[in-house]
Amino acid sequence: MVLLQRRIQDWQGRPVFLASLAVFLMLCIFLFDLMSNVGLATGVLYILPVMMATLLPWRHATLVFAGTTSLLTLVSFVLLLGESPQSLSTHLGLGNRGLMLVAIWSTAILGLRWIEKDQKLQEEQALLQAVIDTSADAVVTIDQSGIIQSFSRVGERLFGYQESEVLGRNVSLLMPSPHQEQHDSYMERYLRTGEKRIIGKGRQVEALRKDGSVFPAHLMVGEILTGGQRLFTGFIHDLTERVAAEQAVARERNFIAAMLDTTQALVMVLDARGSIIRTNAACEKLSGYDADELRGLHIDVMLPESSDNLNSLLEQIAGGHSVSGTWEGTLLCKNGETRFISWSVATIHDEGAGTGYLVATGIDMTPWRQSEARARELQHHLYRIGRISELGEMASAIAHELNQPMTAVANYVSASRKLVEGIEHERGPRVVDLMTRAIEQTERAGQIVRRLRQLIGRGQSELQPVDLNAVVREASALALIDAREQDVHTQMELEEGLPCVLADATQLQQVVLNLVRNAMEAMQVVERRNLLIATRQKEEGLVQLSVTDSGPGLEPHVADQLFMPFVSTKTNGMGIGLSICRSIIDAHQGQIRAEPAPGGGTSFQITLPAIDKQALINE
Amino acid sequence: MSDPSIYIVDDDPAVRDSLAVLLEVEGYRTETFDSATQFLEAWSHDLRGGLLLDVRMPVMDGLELLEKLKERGNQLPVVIMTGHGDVPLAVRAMKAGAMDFIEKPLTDTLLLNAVRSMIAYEEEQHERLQEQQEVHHRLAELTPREQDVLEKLVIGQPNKVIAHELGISIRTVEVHRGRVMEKMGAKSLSHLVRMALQAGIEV
Repeated sequence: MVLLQRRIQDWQGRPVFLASLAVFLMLCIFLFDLMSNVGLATGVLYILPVMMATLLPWRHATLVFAGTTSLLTLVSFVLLLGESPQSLSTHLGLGNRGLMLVAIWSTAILGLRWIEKDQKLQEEQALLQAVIDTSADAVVTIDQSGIIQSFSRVGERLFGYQESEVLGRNVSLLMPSPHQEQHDSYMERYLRTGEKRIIGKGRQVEALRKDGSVFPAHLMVGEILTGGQRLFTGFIHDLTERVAAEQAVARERNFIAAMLDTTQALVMVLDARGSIIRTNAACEKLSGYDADELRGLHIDVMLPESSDNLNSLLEQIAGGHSVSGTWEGTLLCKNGETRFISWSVATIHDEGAGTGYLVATGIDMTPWRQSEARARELQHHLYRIGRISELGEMASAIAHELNQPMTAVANYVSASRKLVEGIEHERGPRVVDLMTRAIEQTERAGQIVRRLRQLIGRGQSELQPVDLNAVVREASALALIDAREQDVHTQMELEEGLPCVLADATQLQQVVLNLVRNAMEAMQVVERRNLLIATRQKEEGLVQLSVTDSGPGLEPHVADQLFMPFVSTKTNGMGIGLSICRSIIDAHQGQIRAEPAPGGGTSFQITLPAIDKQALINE
Repeated sequence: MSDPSIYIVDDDPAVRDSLAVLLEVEGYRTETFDSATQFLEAWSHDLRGGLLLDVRMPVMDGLELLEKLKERGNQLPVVIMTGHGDVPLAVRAMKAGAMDFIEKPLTDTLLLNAVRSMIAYEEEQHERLQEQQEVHHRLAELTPREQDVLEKLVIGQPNKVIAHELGISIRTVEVHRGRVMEKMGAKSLSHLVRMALQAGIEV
């Protein structure tokens, strides 16, 4: 049977040969019919060429052959009838010919219907094949021993095998270990228990290419029972791109999350009702709430002060508007602490969900605010101390300035008196008396000045062990507030582990403030503005502070009188600043001096006695 | 050797001049300097007299000058003048070797007392120094044997013991002793011992 099918298929492949054979057969039957007796039903043989015609690929071949053979049957009947016109034979012949025609046409009709069916089947198969071939999935069919029965074109492309290479081989070669080794047992278990693990479900698996590479795939298996045979069809979809895309999305998501979490800024996303839906690590850290507590929390809990502001923003968002803006407000932490935050907000619209979100970004200004407040306080304190100290210094300066001429007056008068005493003159004693009174008055003036100075003097200074570096840091921070604006490049070289000095910290700060401000002022006229503030241990028992600028340097005549009161190089200066510094440093038993800096400019150096720690302990 | 003078260091010309005038009237020689540096340049070991020094001066102040002088082995007594009569400053001045400390404006009595005691102290110092030098000078003139005898006299050994220890006769010791007394200009044995101790002979 199979052999015949093969042969038929062979013939179908050679239609001209088959057609010629059919025509030849038909002519032979015609000749045989002519030679035989009219009563013989030789025409039945015509069925053969008609059947052969059904195998021809031409559409009307069967009809043509059926028609031709019918005609030939009638022709031979007429010719044979002419030879022996006997009534019996005629009747018999007519009956025979009629049956012959019925046989021919029955065969033709049957053949046509078979052709029709076969064509339909072929079309369906072609369609199926087309579907399989154009599908993105590879289709592999195996029998119940796992042997591959078919392998689609997509499969060839996906796995790198030709169909011919895999047909008849075990399907396990398409999967990596350990499935490769265990696939037979999977099938065996299914056939034994009927328990479906993959059939009809589909899941993500790994697949093995011919070149040994593995790729992610989605596998769906269907089971077919046909002709008592159990077949399994696998549909394999390549997930490489999808997995890569998913990984890229995941990476991007992680990256953005990491970015959000590493920023110092607070980030919060609120829905239109004001509930928190997303926060970043900075937000969680500052507020003291963890991410889960924050999610769903109403923003009013954290920003009670800003609620009016926020509600109007949220209403606008709910109305489909975009909002943006900035404001400063407090954030209430979980522990009740309040932080100052500078907020800025923007809107995200989710077109799909038809809703909007508020994205709030905040920067914690609390430390800045604190330092700002501290700086203001310190500045105020220094200013007040500065006033007092300036007043005391004024008194001291006036005292000194008056003392000098009064000393000279007293000396001159004393000398004159001595000279007059040696002269014999009637009015001599009177002159001596008057000169003595004059001297007494200079003494009185001296007393007044001395009392004035004691009254205002710097009796208030409190000496305590002080870390010079701390003093320098605080005062510099204050003095350098506008250093950047003035384009002053500052360098601090504070030696670690300096011994303490016995000092009034506020007065020392006044000195540092004064020196630093002076240095900055001096550098206003030059382009290169470098300021070096340094401390070091000069020698045993002495610490030194130096403030070095890159200004134009001091003129020699100024340098001589630098620390004298009422000497100033500034147009609006009183000339008190450096003389205050000097008084303060004097009172601390230190020394202050100015010298030209190596690279131009001026270096002010203060040397203070360090505290002997051992001596302090002993006391 | 220069004559004794009062050296006045003050940056204020009027103060400087008036001090000089007053002291000259009182019979002192004076020299004035307008800065510590100027005085430091003029300073030498030979200076006689005293130094009147203002504390508050530009460039180098009085205390700094004091310290520099101390480093150089200055023998000149110093009186500090200041308009700032504060105790810490006075303590520092004294530590740095000042002899006295007077406040401006000064009265002539205060100033003259200070200057007088300064000069007296300096003269005494100077005399003592000269005496010491004289003794040294005389000691140098003794022969080695006479020096041996002197050393033993100073530690109070009688002639007999000296003779025995030096291996000479008592008579010879007596001769040496007479020479030593004569050369040193000693009026008595106790005078000789005092001079020897002053000159720092090792006992």
